[in-house]
Amino acid sequence: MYFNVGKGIAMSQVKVQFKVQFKVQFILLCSLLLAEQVNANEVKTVNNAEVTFTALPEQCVTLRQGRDCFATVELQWQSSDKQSFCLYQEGNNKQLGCWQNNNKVQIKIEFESNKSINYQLRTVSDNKVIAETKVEVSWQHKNTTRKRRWRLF
Amino acid sequence: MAFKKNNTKRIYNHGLSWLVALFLLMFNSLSYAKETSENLEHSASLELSAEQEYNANKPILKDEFEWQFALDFSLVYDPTIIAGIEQDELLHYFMPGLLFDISYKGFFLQTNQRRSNALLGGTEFGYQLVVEQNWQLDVIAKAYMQGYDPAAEIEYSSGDEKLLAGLRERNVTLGIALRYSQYFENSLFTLDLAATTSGDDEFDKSVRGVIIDSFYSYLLPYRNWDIYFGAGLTYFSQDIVDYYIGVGSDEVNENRPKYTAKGGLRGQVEFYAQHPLSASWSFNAGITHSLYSSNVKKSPLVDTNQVTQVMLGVLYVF
Repeated sequence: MYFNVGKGIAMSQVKVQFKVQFKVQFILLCSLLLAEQVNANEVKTVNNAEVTFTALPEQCVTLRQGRDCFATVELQWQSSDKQSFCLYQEGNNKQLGCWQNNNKVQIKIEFESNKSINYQLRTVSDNKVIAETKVEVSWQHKNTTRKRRWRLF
Repeated sequence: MAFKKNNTKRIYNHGLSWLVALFLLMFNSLSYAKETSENLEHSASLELSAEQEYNANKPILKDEFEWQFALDFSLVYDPTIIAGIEQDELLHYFMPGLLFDISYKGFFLQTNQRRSNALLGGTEFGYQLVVEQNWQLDVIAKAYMQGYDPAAEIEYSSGDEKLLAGLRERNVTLGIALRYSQYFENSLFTLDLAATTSGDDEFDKSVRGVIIDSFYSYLLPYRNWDIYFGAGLTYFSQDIVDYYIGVGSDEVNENRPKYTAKGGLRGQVEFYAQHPLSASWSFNAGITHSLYSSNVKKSPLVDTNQVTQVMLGVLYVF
């Protein structure tokens, strides 16, 4: 077994580290200069109308595993009809915002977490989750037992 | 002391074979000793309960091979204290490097310096002798000082012919060291005691010396930034300093009298910052100021006893 101690994603429930085979890394090397694609995390749920719920950026990158990642995240929901929704962070019952009779809302939040977080859009009337989006936390360097020295010149 | 590159070929010819042979011998015996120790530990560990499986005060012995590579695309302003050697073309500032960090059962190979413009120049090969919770003792081999090749500087790098012509090539200084590392919450102190060998002097005798290198690094995390402040003090024995900035009788000319250098010190202060740009790319920048003992200025080969090095670039992490 051999492990790359670099790069990984912290999931909201279970931390999953990439155990990537060397061949995969080689392919990554070949695609080194390709720009990374950043897509909005899009979930479509039909509740009499089509609702789009996105987070941007959908990934927050920190240098080291376990460190809090900081980002200003724009959450946006859009519906073909006017709706009344509340925004929640999964696992946390505190509302991040509630809107009555809107069909397009944007909100900016200060993201600070060492693990990925799911955001939920729920109906005001019955608290039903109608859409989810996620901000993933990933890292470039895994925390290993061996400590590293830092020196420039 | 900061001396120029352009001697990679000589590094391999003179240094690497010596280094590899010595370390193969040394690590061969160490690895056998460690295997015995591991076998005993393995037997003992079978009797441990699950709660006892990790003891922070035990040496950390790795069963699995860990590695990480990064490509460094940096622009580096890298002046030297040697007169007549300048970076005068844009290409001289571009110093890409392969940074790696590989470990296996206590052995490690790493470019612990932030950049490695020569394959060997920034690389440390070592073995963890003792690993405790807050301190560590390693034996390492690394290149402590880069050399310079006056003829190559004149021919390929616009080196000042008047100042450099007739000087012997100075090779890299390789050292085997005991390294003590003390870890604090957000900082690290290291002390290397190194026995070194450089190239041959004017009498074809191998130059041997001692380097005592200390460095303190403090990490200040700020949001997604890693910000490091560092300071170091290094002692170079007389043989080493004289090898690099002394003037032998075969190098004397009308502008360059014979000169024998004394041992010297170097103080360093450093600032370094890194910030992730994406899951694979990060931005990094740093500046190091080095101040050498004032007596090095007495050498006819030296025009200053302080240099400031600057690095700016991006890293691709695999």
